[in-house]
Amino acid sequence: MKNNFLHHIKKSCMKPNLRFTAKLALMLTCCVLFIQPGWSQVLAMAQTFQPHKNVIPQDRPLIDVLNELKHDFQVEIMFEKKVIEGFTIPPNVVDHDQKLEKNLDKLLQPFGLKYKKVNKSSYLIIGEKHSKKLGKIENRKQEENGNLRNSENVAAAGLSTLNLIKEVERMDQMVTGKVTDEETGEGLPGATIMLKGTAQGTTTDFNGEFSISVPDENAVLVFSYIGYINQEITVGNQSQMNISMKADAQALTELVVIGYGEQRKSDLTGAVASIQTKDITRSNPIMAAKALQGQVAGATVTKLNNKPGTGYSITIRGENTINNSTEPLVVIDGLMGGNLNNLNPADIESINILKDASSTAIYGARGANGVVIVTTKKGISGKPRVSYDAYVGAKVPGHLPKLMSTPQFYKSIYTDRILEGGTGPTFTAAEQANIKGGITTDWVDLITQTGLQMSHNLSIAGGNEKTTYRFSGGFLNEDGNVKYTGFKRYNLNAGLDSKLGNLFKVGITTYVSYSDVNVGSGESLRNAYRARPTGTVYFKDLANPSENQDFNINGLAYWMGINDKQVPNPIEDINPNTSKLQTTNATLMGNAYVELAPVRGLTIRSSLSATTSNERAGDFRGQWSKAQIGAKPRAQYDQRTLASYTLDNILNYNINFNRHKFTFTALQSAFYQRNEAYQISVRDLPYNSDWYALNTAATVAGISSSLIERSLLSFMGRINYSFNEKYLLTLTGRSDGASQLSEGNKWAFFPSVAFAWRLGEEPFINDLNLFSNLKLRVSYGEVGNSTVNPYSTQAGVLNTGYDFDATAAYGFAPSNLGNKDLRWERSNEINLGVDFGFLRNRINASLELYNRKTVDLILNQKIPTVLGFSQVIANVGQIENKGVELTLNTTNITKENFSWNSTLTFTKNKNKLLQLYGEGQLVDKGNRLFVGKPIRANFDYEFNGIWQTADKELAAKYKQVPGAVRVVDQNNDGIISSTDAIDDRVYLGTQMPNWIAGITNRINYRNLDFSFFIYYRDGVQYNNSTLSGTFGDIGGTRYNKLASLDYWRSDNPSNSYYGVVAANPYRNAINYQDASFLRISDITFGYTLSNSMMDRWKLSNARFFAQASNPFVFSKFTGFDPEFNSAIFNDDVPSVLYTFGINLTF
Amino acid sequence: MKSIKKTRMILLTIAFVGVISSGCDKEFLDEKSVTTLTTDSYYKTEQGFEDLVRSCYSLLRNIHQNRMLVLNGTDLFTTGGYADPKAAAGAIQGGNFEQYDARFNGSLAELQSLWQLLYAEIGRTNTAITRAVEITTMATALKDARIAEAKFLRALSYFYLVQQWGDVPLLLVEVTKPTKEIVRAPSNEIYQQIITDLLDCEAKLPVTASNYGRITKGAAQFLLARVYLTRGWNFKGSLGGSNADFTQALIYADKIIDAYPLAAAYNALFPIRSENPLKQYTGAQNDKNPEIIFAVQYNPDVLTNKTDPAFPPVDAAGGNNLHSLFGGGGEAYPGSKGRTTDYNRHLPVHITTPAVYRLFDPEIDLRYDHNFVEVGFALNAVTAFRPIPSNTNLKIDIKSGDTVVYFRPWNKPATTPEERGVDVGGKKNYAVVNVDEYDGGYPTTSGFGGVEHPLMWKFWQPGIAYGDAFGTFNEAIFRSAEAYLIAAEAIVKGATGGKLGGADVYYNKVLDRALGAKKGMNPQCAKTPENLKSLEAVSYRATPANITVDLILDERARELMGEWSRWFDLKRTGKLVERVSKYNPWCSKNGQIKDFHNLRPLPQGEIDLSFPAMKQNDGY
Repeated sequence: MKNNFLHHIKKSCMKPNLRFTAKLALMLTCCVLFIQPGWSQVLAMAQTFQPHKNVIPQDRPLIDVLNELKHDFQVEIMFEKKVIEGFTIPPNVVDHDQKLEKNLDKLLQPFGLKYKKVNKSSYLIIGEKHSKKLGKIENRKQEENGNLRNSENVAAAGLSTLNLIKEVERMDQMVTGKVTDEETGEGLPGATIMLKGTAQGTTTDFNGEFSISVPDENAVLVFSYIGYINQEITVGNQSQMNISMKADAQALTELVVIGYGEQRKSDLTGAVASIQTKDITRSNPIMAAKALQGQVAGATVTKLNNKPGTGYSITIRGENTINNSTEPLVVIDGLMGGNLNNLNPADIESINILKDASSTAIYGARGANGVVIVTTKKGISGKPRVSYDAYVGAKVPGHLPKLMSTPQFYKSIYTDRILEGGTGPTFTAAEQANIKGGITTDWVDLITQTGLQMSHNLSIAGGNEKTTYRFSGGFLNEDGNVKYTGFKRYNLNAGLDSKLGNLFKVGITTYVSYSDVNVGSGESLRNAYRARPTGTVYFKDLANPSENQDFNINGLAYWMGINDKQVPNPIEDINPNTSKLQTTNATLMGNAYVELAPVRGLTIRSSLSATTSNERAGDFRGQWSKAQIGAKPRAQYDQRTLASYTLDNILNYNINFNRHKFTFTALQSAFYQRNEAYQISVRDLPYNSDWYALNTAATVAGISSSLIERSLLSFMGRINYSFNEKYLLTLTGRSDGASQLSEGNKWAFFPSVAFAWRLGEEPFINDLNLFSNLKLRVSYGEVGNSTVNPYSTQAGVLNTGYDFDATAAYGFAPSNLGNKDLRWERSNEINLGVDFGFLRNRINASLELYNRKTVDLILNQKIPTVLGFSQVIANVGQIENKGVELTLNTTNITKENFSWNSTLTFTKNKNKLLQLYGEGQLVDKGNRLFVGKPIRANFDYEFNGIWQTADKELAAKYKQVPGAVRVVDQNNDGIISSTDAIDDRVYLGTQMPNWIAGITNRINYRNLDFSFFIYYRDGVQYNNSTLSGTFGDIGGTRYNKLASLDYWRSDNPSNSYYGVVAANPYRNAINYQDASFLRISDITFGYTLSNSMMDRWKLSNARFFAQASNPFVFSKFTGFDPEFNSAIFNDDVPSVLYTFGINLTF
Repeated sequence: MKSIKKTRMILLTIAFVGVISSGCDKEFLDEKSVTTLTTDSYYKTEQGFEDLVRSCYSLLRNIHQNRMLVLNGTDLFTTGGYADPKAAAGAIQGGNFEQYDARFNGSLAELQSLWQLLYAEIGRTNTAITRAVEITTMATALKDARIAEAKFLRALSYFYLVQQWGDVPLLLVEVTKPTKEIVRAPSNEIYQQIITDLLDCEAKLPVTASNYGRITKGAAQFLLARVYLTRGWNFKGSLGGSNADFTQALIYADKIIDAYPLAAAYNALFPIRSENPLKQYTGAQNDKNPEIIFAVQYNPDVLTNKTDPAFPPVDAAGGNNLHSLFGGGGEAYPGSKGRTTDYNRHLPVHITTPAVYRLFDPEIDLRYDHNFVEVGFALNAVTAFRPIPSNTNLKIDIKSGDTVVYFRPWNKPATTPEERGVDVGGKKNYAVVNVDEYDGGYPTTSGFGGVEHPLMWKFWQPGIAYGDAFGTFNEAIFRSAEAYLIAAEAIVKGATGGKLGGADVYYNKVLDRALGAKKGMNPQCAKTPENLKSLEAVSYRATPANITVDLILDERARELMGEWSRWFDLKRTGKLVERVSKYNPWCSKNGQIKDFHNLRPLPQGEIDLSFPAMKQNDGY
């Protein structure tokens, strides 16, 4: 009986491209375990099949032939070894041109064996005797549990086989234990445990637990799991073995989503970056896009502002288009044009970024800016797994530029002005008292706070072999640092996948997200930065309020004791009863698919993804808001509905001939989007009613509504071919038709080709013993961009209002210059990629080089206004983006209790305008476009220090005075001019980064983990909004200013900032600043409970962490966050976030 | 069991095929806009054509709200602070438009703005004129009138352009394709086109339009009078004009004088209001007067009282902003209620030069009283007010309605302590300010804030919400009083055959209306308006002996102050450099105005966007 094992034949887990089959088998096995828990299953694994050899044909054992069949037909064949032992097969019985079933009939019939098809890719071989026995067991089982299953059911078949196993003879020594992931400590279900030197083995259950009989204490067990490093352990006298498995750094088996399909990373031919849930949630980002910053080479991710709930802009491989959107296409679970900001990062399984044109070509028309594919988490079969992740933190204002104190302010607007021959402003008695007493009112401090930030996520996932599910709920709170502002987001997610019979598979995912942002007045922070430090907060502190006609609003001195009526007390402006700008967004995303697999290798999938997003913005300005200042309240109500659907019909066919593997993909897709909006604004509201009693307003100030529709129709085909798993070829073609382009220009075809060579598999490389992995990739593709707004090709009309003697005289004026020739913007790109690994992949890297040329740029081109319009949407010119991207993963230390690994990404993109309008024009100053230079150029006079007293006479020649900003007279003609032939303005730089790097370090010591992320951006030049506004206006006497400005005075010949009274026609030149910065983005400490503790609490994972986000920023840029150019209007202050959190799974 | 399963499979398969085959609709990619119409379909209809012509009117508001290039940097308007002693030393400077220095260059936003608006108007009118061909069902007279309205607005726009910039691009048909090649046409061609269009308008337009506010025959005739007068002066010989043009100007001016009688009282042309906000007029307003030939329309309906939506509004409120731009800070008077409708915003954008006050006879010329608010009132009581903030012992109690500031007329300056305010050591419990102290010359130690200069209330409308552009009163662009002055100028320049007689007759008609009951008297203005200390006076009644272009320009200043014409008048008569140097305090101190300033610099943006680049006007 010892050999009476059921052989579960499986191709070696490490063999590529069978992962799907393996997964299926795993699922099958697992779900049986689920149904009948507590059983110990002992399975024998077939030994790896023998390779073909060039020998004279002779009779072979049946077992070998079956092994060969399962390889050739990519199926699983299960059998009891005993049943087929001793049978041999003459040569040439197997005919590969026939179906597997025919072959099996031919092979098995002579021995009285039969087979049973378990599912589309699994067969069970049974002897006659056993088939009877099986039947009996089934009947008995059904009697016992009548409603369980019918006999044709897949699970029942599995169940039956396991009933067989019950009769398996016990072995001598029993070993039990648990296999866990080293990093997460979670049990690994479905890991394989083999008795070395035999075909005997078992797999772990859902908790990662196993039990196995071994013959004696010398037995060696081999533990293996896909994506992890194998371990061999001698049993000895242990009866309990707990194994923690290390992830295989090489991770060649990692799957990458490539658009309408998945591919093993090792089979990739294009440039695709992928980040997984671990890296997405590591730094607890509020928005998923943040997780891409510095983690994905080639992606430039930039924060938009500091307000709570704000998203990020993403550009991939530089900017291809001039003033249309450079945002990549976001595809969420198949839904094109999704919004990354509505997703809870904790619900994301992976984000894959398609970078080169050969990868994005399958999104043809919309691929030019790159594609971000987001896959949300799905259920996995097994007992319900519950995870709870949460953190709570304090968001503290940080890295703020300092404003002048009262003495500094007084000196700059009074003492120094008098010194330079100017006049000082007048001060009220209240201000004079503050000046005398040296009292500074810190308005910014008064209206900002430490915010509460927290997040809670709960998810449950599980299922059986037929149906899997996942539900999750999340809540996030992010307070603004300006009081009474904040962001809240609620997410609910449900996913269900199910098999219907043998042919069909269906699934549905729904994602509900609701967010609420309140940003208050948007103006109060700027007011606080502007308000004089000499002001007085409370009315009661004013000795003589009538002096400046001050009055008491809620105890505050409305005009702060200052004789100026421009900035009211910021504390009143932040009052939520006074100013409220609240935007709520309810988004529902859903995806449903049905997949048919009529024959082996072929799947036909139809998928419908839809979204509807309802956004409501309510804007209320009360009587004492800055906007109203005593006038009755006004309010505005905006409602926007964005709805879209994407319908994809995808056909996939896999076929293999010996060493040739083909995957064919065909797609028909339709996309439709509608954008509805309406808006009403009123004034003279009788009481504070937010925007909920518009009907009570005395005046309706505006009403509008609109509808914008767009549609896209596509056909796509792709062939993936590989030979010998060494040579890989991908061919893609996509044809797209877009509604917003003009008749005759709607359709375009976008082809691509890519080739990869797994050089590391070649003997001559392998023999070098240098590389553990080496792959070369080269690709070429063309993609399009039709991001122009709908209706751009048509000349529309604009509703104008006028009156004739108070009778309304509405009219319709031409609104734009239609462009009936508008056609696709096209980019073509060559990509060279190298993936390599050294030292058993402890160092592995990907290097990409690309050159992308974009022609027929769709430009919102400024035109001479003589034509009646100031711009037209047109195809012009050419742009080139060349770049280098490097992703480097290193395992620096790997010891039993200590490990350290790092990831470095480097991105460099060089943008250059190659051609303008084709009329020989090389410079278009009006559009700030210069052939040979990057786009988004800064073009102005060049700063050349400050005019000094010694140069007074020269300054006078230039009609300038000492203390004024001096600019370079480029042509030395003695005048500063912007006239064409003698223009002294020059190209100064670009707002695009030069290069970007990100470094993540992860260190584990016993149960402790430590990680941090450093981000560096080099070479963005901004026209500094902080300086160009009132905070930098050192000559102004009205508002407070930056304290850090080293401004020119007769007694301080500064060369860096101008003086307090000098007239400054070229002030703007001083504002162009380099905004390079280095940021320690986050530092995280974590502690994972020991296994014994977790076992006691029946937890599979428990980790506590503390994190600091944005603790350090280094930059020479003057102002707020160097990442973006803020004038603090409609913004919040930068902050540092300290959080404490927990991850629990059971 | 089996059959059920099979049926289920078949149903599923059918459903599946159904899903697969959807989404292949033929019209899927057709673009049909529900929100907006296209010009190609809409302008073919009669209603569309009417709407197109109506849309040409709304830009009139935007165009005429661009006042910097018409008012500032002239002899009448400037930026404030000119009397500050530091200004004389050059330590503080006037605005971009006042000193004609390096700051006055093609980069100024106002140049771009006016240029762009005028060409946008030309674009719309060209579209209407071009598309009219396709309108076949409309009654001929009506269609001709609509085309003529468009032609008038085009002629008006070109007239403004050619005066400001000289040679400018001349486009006469709808633009359907963008180009960067922009060619400037000679000024004389532009004048020829303007006159051709206006003569056509005169022939086709009715005397009374179908709606009040539309262009009429009279408007065309008035503009012809102005255009002929301007061409007669023939700026640097470039306009193709001759002396015959003056005669034409006189003929057309007479036509206007015949048809459009002067209003009985000057202030009947402007909003009715009181100078004391505590006793403010709250009754109805009438902005229709037979004297007015053409006015930009405004009205109380907020949905139509807006500037054109194609351009960012000067003010979000959108209506007439004329009433709140001439400064005088009533808000800063002691006892002010703050930002209220009482004195409204009164932004100091166009500040009267000190010479302007001296051009009037403060006693008998009713226009002086109408234009300037000489007394400021406390609207609230202020206790323990310190007229000199640094002096804690000097306190006065101010009651609501008390005078807090008094601006003395130029010919009666306060000189003794009895006449002066306590804030400067005098006796009066309010500030007393002389003309030479307006705008920065008054002691800064005074506790009476906002004493820069009197409120300029010519256009001020009571009861308007605080803000710039909520005004509802029409802005008159052509009124017959100007026709009298055009006639006078034409006669001075040699035209003969005036229906009323000599130049002085025309002139005095306008003056006498302003004198009201004192009609026929000799009003006295300063002999040297630029010399603020001089009290020497001279009569400004015209006689055949004293009438000159300068006298007419002075009378235009008094009569048309703040209306949309001053820079054009100075440029036409060749008096720009002379009068600005003399009367604009910034220019007389540090000004660098030269002859080339008679033409404006082309907007830098237009040069940058044209290819080959347009040539900048000389001197810039």
